[in-house]
Amino acid sequence: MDAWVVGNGAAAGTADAARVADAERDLVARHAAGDGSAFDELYARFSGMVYQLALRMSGGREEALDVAQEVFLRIHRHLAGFRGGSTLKTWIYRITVNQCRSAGSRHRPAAVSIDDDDQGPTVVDPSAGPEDLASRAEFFGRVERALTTLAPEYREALVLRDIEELSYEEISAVMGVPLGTVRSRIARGRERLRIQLEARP
Amino acid sequence: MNRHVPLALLSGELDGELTPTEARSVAEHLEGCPGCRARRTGLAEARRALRELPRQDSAPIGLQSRLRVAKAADRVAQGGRAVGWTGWWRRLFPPALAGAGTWGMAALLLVLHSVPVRGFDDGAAARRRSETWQRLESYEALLSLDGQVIPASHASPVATARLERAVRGHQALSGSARSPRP
Repeated sequence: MDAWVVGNGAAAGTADAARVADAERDLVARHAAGDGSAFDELYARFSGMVYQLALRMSGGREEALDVAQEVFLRIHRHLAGFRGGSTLKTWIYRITVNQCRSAGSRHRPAAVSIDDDDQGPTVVDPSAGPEDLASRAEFFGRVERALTTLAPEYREALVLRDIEELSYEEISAVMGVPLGTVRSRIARGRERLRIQLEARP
Repeated sequence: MNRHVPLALLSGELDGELTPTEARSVAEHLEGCPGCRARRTGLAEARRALRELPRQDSAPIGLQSRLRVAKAADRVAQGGRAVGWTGWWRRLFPPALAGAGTWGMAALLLVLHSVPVRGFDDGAAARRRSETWQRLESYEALLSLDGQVIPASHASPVATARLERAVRGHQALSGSARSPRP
């Protein structure tokens, strides 16, 4: 269902935003009426996003699967009550971040590479040779390990901004903090990440 | 801007999230401050490192099957449709007969559950009848045999009357069962 497949909220024009809002209302109404295909569409659209966010935030595949499962259960339970105060995407991001926080209080994040297991295909440069690939894999590993050392509030802000590419306004809505706090957390997170990367060549 | 640029402004400038006034001020300062330029470069590298991480565009296939099981368990936990154990029942009957089948099964369970069993004393039989009654007093519990929880207020008058007749019949049976056994 292409009508509600859109880019970032900030980039979407007014007409696009209205079209998306209509499509989301329709989806919610269909789910409330018991149409199982509505949830299937939502899952197809957002499962990759939820899993990636959970993986980057939790740092482990099993933890990410647990988080993603719980997120979609919550969506299934509460979607009928979604009133459109934000976009569905923002709402789902918020649920995911909250679930990651809950899970984070039970598990200590561990560095994991999404190349480690059966994650499916990831985008690689076809022109890169084996040495380049090994070097890049090592670099990605360093970045991922550095990310897991950050305090959760910095990690959340950086993942939402630099991996999920949300606008500051969207991050503010997802994290439930003012814009100034978002700006500050992203800046401090980047500074700490830079220090970590420089400290571990 | 004579003092060094605050970290949040340097970082925000990379994202294009500054106001035009802030952006102009930061750009002017950077031209003449190697320290702030170096700091900005470090932030830009951290930003680029995260953006270059491999992306995961789809969830593992296992998530969908886990979710299916979790949804079914969730429905049962919330007293909703227990797809797993009523599915066989629904498949057994055409839709039009499923309701009658359910009521028949309910009546059968009622009788089997409460008829005194030879060898048990009257006290045990009375306790069993009492427990059965408690179960039946909740229409929701009985109607859930059909795989759906229907609040008593939503139960159809016909279904309710049928239930009440079944219960009265059970009372009559139970009363006669109180007579001394041979």
